[in-house]
Amino acid sequence: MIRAKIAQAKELIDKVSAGQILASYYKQYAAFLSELDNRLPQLKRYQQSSQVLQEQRPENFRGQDVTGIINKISLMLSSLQDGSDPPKKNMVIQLTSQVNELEEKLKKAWQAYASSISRNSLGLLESTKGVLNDPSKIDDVINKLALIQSQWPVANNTLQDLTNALEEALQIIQDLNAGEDVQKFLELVFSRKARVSDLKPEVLEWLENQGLTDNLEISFANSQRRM
Amino acid sequence: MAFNLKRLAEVIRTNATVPSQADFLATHTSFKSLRYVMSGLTSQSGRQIDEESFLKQGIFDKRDDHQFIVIQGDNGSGKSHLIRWIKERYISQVDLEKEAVLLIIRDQNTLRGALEQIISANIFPPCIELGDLKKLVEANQHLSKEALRQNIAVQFAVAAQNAPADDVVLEKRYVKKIYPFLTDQTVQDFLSQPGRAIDRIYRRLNPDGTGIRQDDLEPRFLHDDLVVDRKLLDKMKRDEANRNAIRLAEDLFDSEKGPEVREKLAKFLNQHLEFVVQSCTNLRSADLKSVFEQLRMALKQAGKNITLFIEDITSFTGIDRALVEVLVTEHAGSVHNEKFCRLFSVVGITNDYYQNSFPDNLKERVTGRVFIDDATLNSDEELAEMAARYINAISLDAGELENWVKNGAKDEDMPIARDNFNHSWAILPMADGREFSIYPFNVSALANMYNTLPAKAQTPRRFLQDVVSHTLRTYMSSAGGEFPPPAADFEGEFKVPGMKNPNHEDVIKRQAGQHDYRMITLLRLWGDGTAAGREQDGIVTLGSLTEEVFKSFNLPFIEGVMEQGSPATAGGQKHLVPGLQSQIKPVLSGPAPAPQPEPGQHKRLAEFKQIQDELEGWLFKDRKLNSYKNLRDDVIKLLLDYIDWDAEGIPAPIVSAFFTTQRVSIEGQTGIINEGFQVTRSEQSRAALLALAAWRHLGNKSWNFDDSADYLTKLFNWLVTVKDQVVAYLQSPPGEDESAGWDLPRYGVLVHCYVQSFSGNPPSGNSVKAVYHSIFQPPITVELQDNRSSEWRSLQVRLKQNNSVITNSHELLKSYYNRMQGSITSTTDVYFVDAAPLLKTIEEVQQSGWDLAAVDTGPANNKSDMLWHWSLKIISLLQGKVIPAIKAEVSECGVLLQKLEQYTGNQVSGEELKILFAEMASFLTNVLKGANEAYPDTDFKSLTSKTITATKFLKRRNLLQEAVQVSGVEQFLILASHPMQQVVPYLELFKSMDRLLDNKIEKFQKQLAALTNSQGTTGVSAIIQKASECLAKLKDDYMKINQGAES
Repeated sequence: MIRAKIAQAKELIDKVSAGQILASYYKQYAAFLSELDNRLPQLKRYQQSSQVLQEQRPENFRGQDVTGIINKISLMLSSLQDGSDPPKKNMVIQLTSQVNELEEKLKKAWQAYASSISRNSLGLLESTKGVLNDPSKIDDVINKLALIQSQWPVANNTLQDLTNALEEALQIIQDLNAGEDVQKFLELVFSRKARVSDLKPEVLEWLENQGLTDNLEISFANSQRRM
Repeated sequence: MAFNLKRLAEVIRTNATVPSQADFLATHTSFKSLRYVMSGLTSQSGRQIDEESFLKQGIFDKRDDHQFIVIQGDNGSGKSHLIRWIKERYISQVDLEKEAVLLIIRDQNTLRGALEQIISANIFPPCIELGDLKKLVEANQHLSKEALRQNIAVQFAVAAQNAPADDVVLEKRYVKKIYPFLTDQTVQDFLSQPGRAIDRIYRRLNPDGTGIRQDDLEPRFLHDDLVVDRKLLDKMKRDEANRNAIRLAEDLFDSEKGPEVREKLAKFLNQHLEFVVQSCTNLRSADLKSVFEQLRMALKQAGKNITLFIEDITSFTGIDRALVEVLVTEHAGSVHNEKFCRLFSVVGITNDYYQNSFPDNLKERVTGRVFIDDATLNSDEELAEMAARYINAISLDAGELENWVKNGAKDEDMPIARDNFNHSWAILPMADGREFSIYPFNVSALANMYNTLPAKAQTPRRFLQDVVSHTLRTYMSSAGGEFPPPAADFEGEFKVPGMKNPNHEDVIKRQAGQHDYRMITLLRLWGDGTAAGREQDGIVTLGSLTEEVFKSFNLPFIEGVMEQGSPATAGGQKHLVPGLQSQIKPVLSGPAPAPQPEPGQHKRLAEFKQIQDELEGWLFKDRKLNSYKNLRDDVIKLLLDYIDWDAEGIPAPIVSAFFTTQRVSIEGQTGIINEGFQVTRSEQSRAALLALAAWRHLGNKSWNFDDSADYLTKLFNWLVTVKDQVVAYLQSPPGEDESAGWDLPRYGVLVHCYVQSFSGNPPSGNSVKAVYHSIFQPPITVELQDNRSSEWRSLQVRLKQNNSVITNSHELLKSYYNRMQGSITSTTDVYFVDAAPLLKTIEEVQQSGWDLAAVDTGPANNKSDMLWHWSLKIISLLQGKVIPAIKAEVSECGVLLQKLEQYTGNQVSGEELKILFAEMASFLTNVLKGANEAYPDTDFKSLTSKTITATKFLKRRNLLQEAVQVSGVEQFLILASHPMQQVVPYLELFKSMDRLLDNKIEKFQKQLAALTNSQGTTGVSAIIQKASECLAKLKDDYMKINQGAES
């Protein structure tokens, strides 16, 4: 049957034609894939950080608008599926660039967040560290918190680590039994603004209880420098 | 005594032997008109002289001088006879004590024979050494024929090799090729064939034992000896002969330069003949000269002279030049010569030899020449006298003549045989008053016979052999009295002239009964060529012969065609005396002098006589007729004009078809057909044919000539005889008639229909009108068609082989009902057809369903070429074979349909076919071109140019289907239109397309497979898949970010 054969031949010719086109794009596809592979960690780093932050700190990280990024990915997908015109690796580069911008923002936001929630504890620890005979424990916590703040991307355990470190700092502080006035005094000391007048009884009592009175040093200072 | 063969053979010698002295002298007829020229250089001067005068003036008056006399004449002219006569007369008068006389007769005319005569002659004193001559004779006896022949060729080759470079006869480039040429075995065999140059030279050197005289043989190369044929050339090449030998053979073979090369080569070789002969015989010229010089010196010392009579110088082939030098050497003039005795020589030399071979420088030494060619037989008297002397000698006992010789051999004392003197009409009176019987001849018979000898044969020798001896032998063999026999049984070298008036033959036949032909011979040779009965002065003659002549030959003396007042003369010779010649002349040249003939009349008369002779040869000797074509054509015209064909009820085409040169013939001619009308060999036919010849020649295609009424009568008689035979033949073929179902037009129509069909042009729609019109179209011949079944094609082959019969049959049918206007044999393209019977015949044929089986083709089965059977022959070919051919063709159609369906699909509709054709076209012009794929344009030109289309294919396929489905004549007609052939282009297209598709599919499948690799489609697909998955997931993940942002 000639007609059947014509159909078969036509189909084959089409396939070969398409195949030849495809084959001719191989390098472009390969280049695209290579670029994608290379950039994927970057693309995923932001996405994962963002997702972790959204999931774990939804109140602090409501998520960024990534519509533009999604559109670009869709475009690439379409191009792949269409087959007529292979996606350019530049698309990946541009996508990555766009993601990087968002990541930078998120990163900053994260760092700001981590810094902000650590700030009190760190202040207290820092202020206490000077009066304690053995500050190593506080240094560990301070280092840990500093490390977490600078950690990027934010992994699933990062926030937990942050929480843990903060709890650890809190525990250290609690273990000092310092009331409010003590804490206030320690902060003033840490900021080199404590005055004699700030040595309130409670403070003195806490100092004595902690055996820190010998560590207390009074000095005169230029007021302007204190400011 | 009566004639007997022994004496005949003794007196008239046909071989190389010589007659006895007695017979020779008794038969000698004097040479009355010799021409004597006393110069060897010119032949212009000279005087007429008779033999006695010459003997006195040329011989005896000069016998004390050195003489070298040449007797010159052609072969058979009587040179030897004259020389011998001179010799006999010479020895009878000279003192043989003082004269040595040597006669070297021609014998077999060989060198050996001549030398033997010299050796055995008694003239040589014992002191003369003949050893060298003897050695030759003996040596040659030991040489085989082949060895001597080969030696001759080799010696010619040697002579050529030693020839001086400045030979003027033949260019050097040819001379140098002669040696390899003549030493080649093939060439030697060729030149040694009987009758060729080497053979002739050989036979001149050595007697061949047959006793046959060799004097007619030219012992030298002739132009014709060197005519090389293709066969010889091929054999030389095949045998890888010497290159130069082949080149010379090619030059001799060459049609342009061959003649000149042959002429020159022959002349060149002949220059060396003497060397060759002497080399072959170990004989030197000097030997012969030495022998004769010794002889002459010895004779001089003995006080004697020598006279040589040499009948033919060519007996000395090879040493002839030496002999001439001997003969020209005088016995005075120098001291050396004065030692010799006088030499008187008389030598016979042919004209050809004297002209071509006699040394020019020695011709001036010839003291006299006697030309003999016109010396005898210049008149009927001389013929009669020579015949009379021979017949007389033959009639006498040898002893009687020997006694006459012993008694002096005086002519007047010569005994005369009187046994036949009772036939007084055959007594020849001589001028001296003696009478001889020339019975059974008369002078007319001798003259008529002699004058019809070929010109070259009109010599004394041939006259004696071919006329006198032949007639006497015939006479003796007819001891029962049947002499003269009918002309056809009598003719030898001479011819029997026709009757002056052929009608007289009829008179003779009527009146002479069983003796008619013998009497006709007698009248034609002995008489005046008529059967005219005359009476004058109380003497009654028939054809100028008296009753006595007829009685002599036991023939009745009939009345003949009576004429009044004509002279009765020629019967008995007594009435001729003394003016014999004047009496004979009318017999030879015809009766009364005719009025001045009109221009061309002589020629026409000669032509008529020629045909007259031919017809006699045809009737009596089964000879072919040279004038066959004219006679046959005239017979045809005569029959056509004479018979009223319409009245006989024979259609014109039958007549004109029958009266062709292929169907009318005369018995006994080459290449005639067996079927048709033949003029049978009979006396009546001869008379009719002679009448036609008279009409054509004597009357110049009219009956306006003397005695035409006689001829017409005979012609009419013949016509009456043959008319019924001719008409009966044309009315119907033998054994057939219409009442028995014979229907020629019907057969013709049947053949026409089938032939039209098998030639691929069936009558359109099988309508009566279509068949009728097709009959008057130009004849169609059957050609073989491709794509036919073997059975159908086999029938076409058989028909094609009989195309000429088919054409004839068609022409016959076409003109069967034509009503000829004008001559019945006119050829015309204009027909006045009686259409009604033809249309009826066509209708009947159609109603019979073209039935072949009902036709009885028996009459045609005997391979007859008769026009009646033309159509039957074709029907016979068709019978029993048309149905199998149809079946085979239908089967082939079925197969073809299946093949088509393989491509188109089963039972596809017209619409589907249109799609198929469109897709095919589109595939080519769009798909393949789009894919930059090539395809063979020529295979699909018909498709792309739309010369073949779905619509046309549908029509043809349907016709093919119809051919399979219908039956009978309808089916045959469809098949005849060759439906298979009509779909062949489509089948070829489909095949081409199918093949193309298969090729392309295979090609693209391979390409596709080739694309499926890590860097091809597979690789790309993998990349796409991976990238797609990756991006899809990324997208999902980012979507979550967005969702988070939205929430």
